[in-house]
Amino acid sequence: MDPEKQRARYVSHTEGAPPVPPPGGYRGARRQANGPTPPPAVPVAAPAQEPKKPANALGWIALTAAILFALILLGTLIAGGTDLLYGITMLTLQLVVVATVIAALFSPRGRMLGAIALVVTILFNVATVGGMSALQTSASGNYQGTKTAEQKHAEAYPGIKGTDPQQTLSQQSLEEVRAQSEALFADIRTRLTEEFGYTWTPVGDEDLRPERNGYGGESMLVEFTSSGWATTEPIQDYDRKLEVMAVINEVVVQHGLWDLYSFNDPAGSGIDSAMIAKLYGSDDPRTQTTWEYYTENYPDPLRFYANIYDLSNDRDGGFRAAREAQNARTGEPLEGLQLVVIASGVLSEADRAEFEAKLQEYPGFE
Amino acid sequence: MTGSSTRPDLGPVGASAPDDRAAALLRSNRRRRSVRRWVAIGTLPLTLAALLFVGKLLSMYAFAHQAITAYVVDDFAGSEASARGLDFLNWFEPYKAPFNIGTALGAAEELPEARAELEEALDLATGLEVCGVRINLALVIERMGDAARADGDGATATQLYGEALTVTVETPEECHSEEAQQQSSDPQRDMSDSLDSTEDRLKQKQQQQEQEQQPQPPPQPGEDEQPSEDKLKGLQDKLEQGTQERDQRQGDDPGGSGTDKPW
Repeated sequence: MDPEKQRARYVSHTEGAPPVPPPGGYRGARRQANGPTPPPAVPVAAPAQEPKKPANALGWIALTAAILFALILLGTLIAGGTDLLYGITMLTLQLVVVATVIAALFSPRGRMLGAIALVVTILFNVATVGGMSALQTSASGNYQGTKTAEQKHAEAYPGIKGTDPQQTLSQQSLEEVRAQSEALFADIRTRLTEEFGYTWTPVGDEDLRPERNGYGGESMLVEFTSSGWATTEPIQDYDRKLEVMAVINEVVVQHGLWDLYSFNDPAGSGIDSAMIAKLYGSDDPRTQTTWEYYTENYPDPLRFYANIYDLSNDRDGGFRAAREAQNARTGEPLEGLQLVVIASGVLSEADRAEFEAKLQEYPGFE
Repeated sequence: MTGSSTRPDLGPVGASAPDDRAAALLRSNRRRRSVRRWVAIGTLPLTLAALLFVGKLLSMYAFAHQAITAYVVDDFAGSEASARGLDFLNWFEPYKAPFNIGTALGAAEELPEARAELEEALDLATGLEVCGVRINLALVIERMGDAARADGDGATATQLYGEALTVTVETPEECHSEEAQQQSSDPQRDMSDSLDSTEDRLKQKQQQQEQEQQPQPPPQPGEDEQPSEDKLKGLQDKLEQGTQERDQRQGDDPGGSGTDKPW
């Protein structure tokens, strides 16, 4: 015999079963009678109405702790305290909250509130809120960390790590570099116009980039990039290029700079030929798209660049495309000669007094 | 008893129907329990995978943040340890783990190890992700060149400067774009400027290295006033200046990030 049927008979024939259904049947019985499933034959005793027991203290403690901790986390998130969120204190508190919630879940009278606390904890915990805060910090780039007082002090150092501040003070100031570069450009333009009839157009604007101090902060020094000058005429003849560079060399030497040297010419460049070909279009100056000459006025900070761009040596159109992109950005001519000066770590005369005063707070720093 | 008289007579025929119904109900309940159990067992791997996924994602933010903040306060060992946390199940943005590890190692002067990690990051990086990796890789190789030069190994220094220059020059043109800048781990600095500066500096270092190795440098204007010893000192100082510029960047670049934040 089917064991299910046997078991069903046993339970349905028990003496002392509840009374038969009232006339008309139990409430809802008619609805089941017409349904596809027959009503159960096993009489079911109506559960006694027990008075509902209130949740125990553990459940309330778990729920309160979970909500309070979530509020603390959100408050810290709003305050931008990502480091605090991932700190040992928050992690410890989180473990305490989790332990309380688990304890409540194992308590019959605290289970409901424990489950609610669990949901709150899953949504708002150190990991989820910390992740949101980390994203916020990442977007702002404001990574402060927990710097020591010493590190914070170093962060405000006005000079640059590894550079003698006295050298900074003794070298050309920003204003002197600017004045010298303008004088240099003027003389070069005059000479080249006299000898070759070139006309000129300014390129870009002067740029001052703050320089970091190497201790996690900004120094008071800047990198100066002059506005450039460019010929409006192309320079494509090899001999002419040499003549132009020779004239420029004479002028820079008159201004106290070293002789020009060429990055692009394998005969004198320290760069290997393969890299020269990559940078300048060829390792033969006669077929190069770019000539790059350089000099400086060490120990002063001025660095001078003279570049000649030549589209006639562009074999695959790549160089023209690059120059056109540059032209779209700065409006500079596609080809011809360009002059620019860059000087790193220069101090404005207006900041000199403040620089010297601040240095007094940093004995032994360099 | 009235109760017994009103009780329905469940004879052999009448008794079988409730038995069947009860049996059907029990079977139905048992089937439901069984279905529930198998659904639970069947979805267990999915549930575990989902938990693992969420855990991995959330841990990435934590490790990345810790790596950056430790780096910012010069705790390079801590930064490396946090970055290694990203290496576990490194499925998402996989270049970031070796990038962060390499950046921390570089700051700790463990240059060959840093280079290996950054080269691994470069292999894993795609699109604009390569920009920051290339910047830091070039800086680390440049630093290796500086170390070789300080040890008096000019040939190795020149070779390393050349390799660093190659890494910089092969940076995609897109790295000069505004979009690349927005993804930079160092938003306070222009990525295009950083690349240009690195390229210029490396060219100069190679040139100066070349001149240093020449027995007789070409005559210079006013050589009487500036003896060759001064020139050599100048070259040396210029090389050190490059190191300082690099230090400035390394000192603040969270790697990140960045360019790249763990970013």
